Amino acid sequence: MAIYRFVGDCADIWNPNFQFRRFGQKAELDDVIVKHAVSQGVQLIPEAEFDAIGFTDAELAKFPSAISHMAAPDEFKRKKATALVALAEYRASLAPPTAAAAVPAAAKEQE
Amino acid sequence: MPTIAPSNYNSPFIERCFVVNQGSTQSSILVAPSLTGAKLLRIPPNGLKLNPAMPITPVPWKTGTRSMQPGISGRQAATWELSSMPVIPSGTAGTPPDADPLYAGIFNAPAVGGVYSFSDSGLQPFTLASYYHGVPTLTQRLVYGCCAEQVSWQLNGNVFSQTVSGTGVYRLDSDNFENEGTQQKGGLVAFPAEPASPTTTGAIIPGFGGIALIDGIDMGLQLRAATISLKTGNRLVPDVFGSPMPAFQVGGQREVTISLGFVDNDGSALIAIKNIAKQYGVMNLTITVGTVAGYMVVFTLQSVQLAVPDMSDEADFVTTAFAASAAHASVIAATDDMTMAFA
Repeated sequence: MAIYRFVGDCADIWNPNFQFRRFGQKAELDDVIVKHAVSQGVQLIPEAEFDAIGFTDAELAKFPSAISHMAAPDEFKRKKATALVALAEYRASLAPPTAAAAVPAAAKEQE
Repeated sequence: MPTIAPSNYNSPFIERCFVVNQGSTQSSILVAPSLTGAKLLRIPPNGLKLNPAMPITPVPWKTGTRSMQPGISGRQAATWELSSMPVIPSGTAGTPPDADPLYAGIFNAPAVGGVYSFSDSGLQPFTLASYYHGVPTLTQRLVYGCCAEQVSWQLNGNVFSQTVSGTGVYRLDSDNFENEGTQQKGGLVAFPAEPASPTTTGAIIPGFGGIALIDGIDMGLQLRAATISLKTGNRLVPDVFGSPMPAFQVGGQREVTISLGFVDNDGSALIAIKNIAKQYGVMNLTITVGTVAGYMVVFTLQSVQLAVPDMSDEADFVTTAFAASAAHASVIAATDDMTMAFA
């Protein structure tokens, strides 16, 4: 189990049931469930990565949804973009390695 | 006397519909996939049809009576339809929606940055499955080797929705799985269990609100009716010698059309497109459904040759209607007749 943060607008995990309705919503989740959910498109990142972006509590309270983000200041939009990059990287890290990526670095050096 | 009382009566509302990509090769069409990564589709009542297409070949000879004899098994395939299915963006701009395998099948290519573009050389077959949730003794069904043939997106309704239909290699169901032939089972050794932990992202959006750029001018405030239709040109070849079922997918010419209905007026924008239509000219259309980033769907249609419009009376205004009008590639060798972007 670990703490994750939601960086989307609206998502559900149907079993066990988790509803995500606020950007920045915090949830303690089983890692296996998160791996499956993120690979399926749910927008979750580990809390440490979320915290590193520097969202303030006031920002998260004021801009909880995609529609509210339309009127958010550029600073918030930059942070959101960073969060989405973190999501893409996190999702990629969960994907099974491709054949090329699975080649050990030492083997590549010998080529 | 044995009891025949069922344990469960079915309800349409306990159905869950799933879609999963089946690969990108001709051979993958014939292999029913694992449903581990299947995505849950949110559909309305009567939104999903998974039908077997299994005609019986009648006995052809004269029997000496006018009565019929039982026939033999004919060709085998399946048809499917997703009716009035809402278009549900993920809520994050530039990312594919839950229905990604369906759209990839429609465009023959996966999304790139949330944008679906046609591929003439690829294919993305998929499986559609229906489970009556939590009651595995009810009939669970799936059609594998699905090929999308026709799509229509209906704009300006309360919910932005689409209807998609096509054919599939075969329909399996849990009641008959054990009796199916090896080819029909598509490589499965047991009927797949219902995906245990589905997820969904995003929410439905209205079919109105957005921008209708027609030849560069936003005419959204005059537009009352719009339907984008696509005949993909994809087809499963159903009559090969070596199998009773379709064996591969082929591609004919696709056809993208849009029909538009405007409240008639004397504005220069509407007159301009009437002029272009009468002169067989072409124009580009960009229709954006939705206004919130993450919940916008952008259709870009190239070189649309609008039909010469008809005019008809409504109760208190006149409609100028451009009937189904074809989009075309912008240049020879392009495949940009239409793109669909989740923005």
